[in-house]
Amino acid sequence: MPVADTDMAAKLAELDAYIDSLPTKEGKLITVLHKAQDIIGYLPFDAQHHIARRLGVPSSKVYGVVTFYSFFNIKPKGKYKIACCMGTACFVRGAQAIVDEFKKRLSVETGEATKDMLFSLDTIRCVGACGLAPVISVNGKIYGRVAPDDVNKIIEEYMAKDGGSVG
Amino acid sequence: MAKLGSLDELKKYAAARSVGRADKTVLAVGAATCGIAAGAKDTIKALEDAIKANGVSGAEVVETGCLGFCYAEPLVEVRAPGAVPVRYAGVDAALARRIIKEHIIGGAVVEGAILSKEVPR
Amino acid sequence: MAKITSNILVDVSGGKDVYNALAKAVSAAGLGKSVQVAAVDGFGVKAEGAVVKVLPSGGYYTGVAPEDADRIVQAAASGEGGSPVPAYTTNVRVALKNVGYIDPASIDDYIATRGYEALGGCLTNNTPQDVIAAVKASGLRGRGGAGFPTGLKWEFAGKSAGDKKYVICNADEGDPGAFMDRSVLEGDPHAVLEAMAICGYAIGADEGVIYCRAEYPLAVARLENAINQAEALGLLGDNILGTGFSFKISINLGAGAFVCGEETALINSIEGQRGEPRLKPPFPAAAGLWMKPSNVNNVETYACVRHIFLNGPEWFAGIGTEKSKGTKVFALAGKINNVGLIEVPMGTTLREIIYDIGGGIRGGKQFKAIQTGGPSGGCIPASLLDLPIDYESLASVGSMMGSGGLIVMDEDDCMVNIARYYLDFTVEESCGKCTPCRIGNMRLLEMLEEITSGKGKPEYINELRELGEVIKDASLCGLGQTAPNPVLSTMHYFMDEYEAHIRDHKCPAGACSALLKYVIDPEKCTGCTLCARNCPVDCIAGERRKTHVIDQERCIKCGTCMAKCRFGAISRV
Repeated sequence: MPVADTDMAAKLAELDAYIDSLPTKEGKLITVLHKAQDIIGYLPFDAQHHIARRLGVPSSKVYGVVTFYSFFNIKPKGKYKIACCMGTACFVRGAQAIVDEFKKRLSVETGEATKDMLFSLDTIRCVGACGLAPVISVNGKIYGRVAPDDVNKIIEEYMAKDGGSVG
Repeated sequence: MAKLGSLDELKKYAAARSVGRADKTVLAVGAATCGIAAGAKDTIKALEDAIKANGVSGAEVVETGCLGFCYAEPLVEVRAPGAVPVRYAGVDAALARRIIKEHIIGGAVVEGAILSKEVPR
Repeated sequence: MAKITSNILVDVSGGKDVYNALAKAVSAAGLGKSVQVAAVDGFGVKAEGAVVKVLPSGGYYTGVAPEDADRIVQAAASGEGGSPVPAYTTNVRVALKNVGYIDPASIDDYIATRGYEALGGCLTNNTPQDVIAAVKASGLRGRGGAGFPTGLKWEFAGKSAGDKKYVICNADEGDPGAFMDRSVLEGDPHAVLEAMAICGYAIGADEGVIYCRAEYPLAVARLENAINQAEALGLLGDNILGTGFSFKISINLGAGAFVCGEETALINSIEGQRGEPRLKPPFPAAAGLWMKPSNVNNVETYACVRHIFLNGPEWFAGIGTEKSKGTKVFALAGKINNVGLIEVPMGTTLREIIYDIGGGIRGGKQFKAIQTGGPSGGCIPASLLDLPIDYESLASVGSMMGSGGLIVMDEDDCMVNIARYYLDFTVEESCGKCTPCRIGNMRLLEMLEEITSGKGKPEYINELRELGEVIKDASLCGLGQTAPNPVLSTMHYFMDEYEAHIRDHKCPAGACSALLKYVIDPEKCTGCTLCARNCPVDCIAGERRKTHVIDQERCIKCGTCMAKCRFGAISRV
């Protein structure tokens, strides 16, 4: 797909400009990966190779770092990223039931995106809003004291927002 | 801003400042991650709108960190000159408007919404 | 409208007699336009009988009887009345002193609370040796987990020879259920910056790095803002306060790895590597970031530092217990009424924390255990509620201080399942570098999974214990060395639950779904079909007005049918 290719080329150019702006490249791999994920949304192999060349480190090292940290994704995420907190406070207040309800409603496993790429589902470790447990976030917006019955409402809220345009 | 050149200059700078200025009523809203998640941004807006709509002068909304009462967010603490602070729990937009009307303008605490637990400072 | 000038707050949790008497006294005195009586539910103060608080002065009356009403109203009307009463919560806030009080975006607010005065004082009046001696004398110990004496750590880094040294702040608060560091960073960022600069002066470093979780964007934003403000005023950067001392601070984002809370793993991560721990020695004080001498402390530890200098080390050492000085911030969460952040003197008992401050267990349920120290800690049972919290006493009961998460569990929580939850966490977060942690914890988890699904074998009890001890002894870093704690401590205090799962295939708490069964009582079932219509897997059969039956093979034990039944005909066994 040429469109996607040009798109990626533009994104990598943006990343290059960022790398060039760094005072030193030493020790900046994680910083650059954060930026790359900001720009691209995830870290496909092409981008990893590119970063390796630009920073002068082996691709294996980049891959090693990317897969070590849970914050980095090799697969693309959905347009709306649902993250269910599985910190202890949320866990003892029923977080598992919320995750299960999302899995059922979206027909995905955690770590996956729906086929239409509208939603992806992940579990995360404690957003530090334990007073509102159980907590989920959608693209960073936090929903507190979520009950399994609220899951469908939340999904519908975002489907309505999207007007069903993504298919 | 000029740089402070010595410890004495720092102390002079500090002496010229006090938190929340003694002549003003401050509405401090807990705006840490948990407070924001519970709706603190809406609370801040409602307070500011109500201050404007009622033409209140000498009252100011500021953001602070987390007071620790996660179960009672969003929290608003009213600090009037010469008075002990009064804290309100679960402050949504409607309660925010009542706080301005009844407490700030009328001087009467909003019954039923006060978080009365002591927090030492 | 006339302005109310005095408010009388009445604790009505014990009854409304006093409230009614006060309201009557106000109208009898014709003060309705200037004095307001309002009901509240408790002040959290140490006082007997009915308690009344008068605003704006904030004074209290305790043990109030209805006859006292006139006297209190008259005093309130003249702007007086009441006296201070000690609160249940700590009478000292140290790490959280400014949090929730000042505007974290304003350096002026911080400076107005004597901000940067401790740094200025150290730079102007003290030698680096004085500074280290003061921190040692205060008895401050690391608030991130193991409780190593902070002054000693600074001394080691100070004595290490090196042209370049680093001060590192561990803000990678990975312990699920702990959020005190986030609160400090979001509520009082300058306190951390000031302490890092003081540490830099003490050990001879000119550069500081804050390693902060990427999951805390607001904390990062407030830190960035604070650094810029401090640099603009010459409180960070070159030639601080004209003393010739220079210190810069930068922020490094974490990327989601619990093991990076371990100081050598954290250093590797700052260097852009996989966050695997290094073999110690050499300790960071000798060879840390870029192999240069480095001092690593966590956020809460740094947040205490300036108060040691403002109030004196002996003041700090006067709070707490013999070996654990000062206060500790805890994140109180789980099945408790008042979820939140508290700061108490070391030595406060769990009972005071749970019942006086935390307001007891939610829904009036039975307290079962409190978990401290996160995935590295253990579960403490009701019989130990009077334990004073400090580093040593928590360790003596098989738990640890950790970063300060306190998760309260009630009768509905299965202790085996909780142990499984923590092991699941550790297995996912183990970096894989050393075998005992990588493989050993996996084996522990597998056994726990079998036990919670009713397939546990009697010999697992011994195997869990033996393997747990081996992992503790043989692992490379703190993560592995403490990972079996949740299993070992729950086995120690709640063996009956393990036995019930293994021997009787029952989960006494009703939490392990594989060991549960939902059944319909034919006596009570009216055949309304509501359960069948709501079953997500269509496993309930039965004709209208006839008894329904759940197909146990297909049931996923979601509990929807039980929640929907209007006749109480469905029970969990």
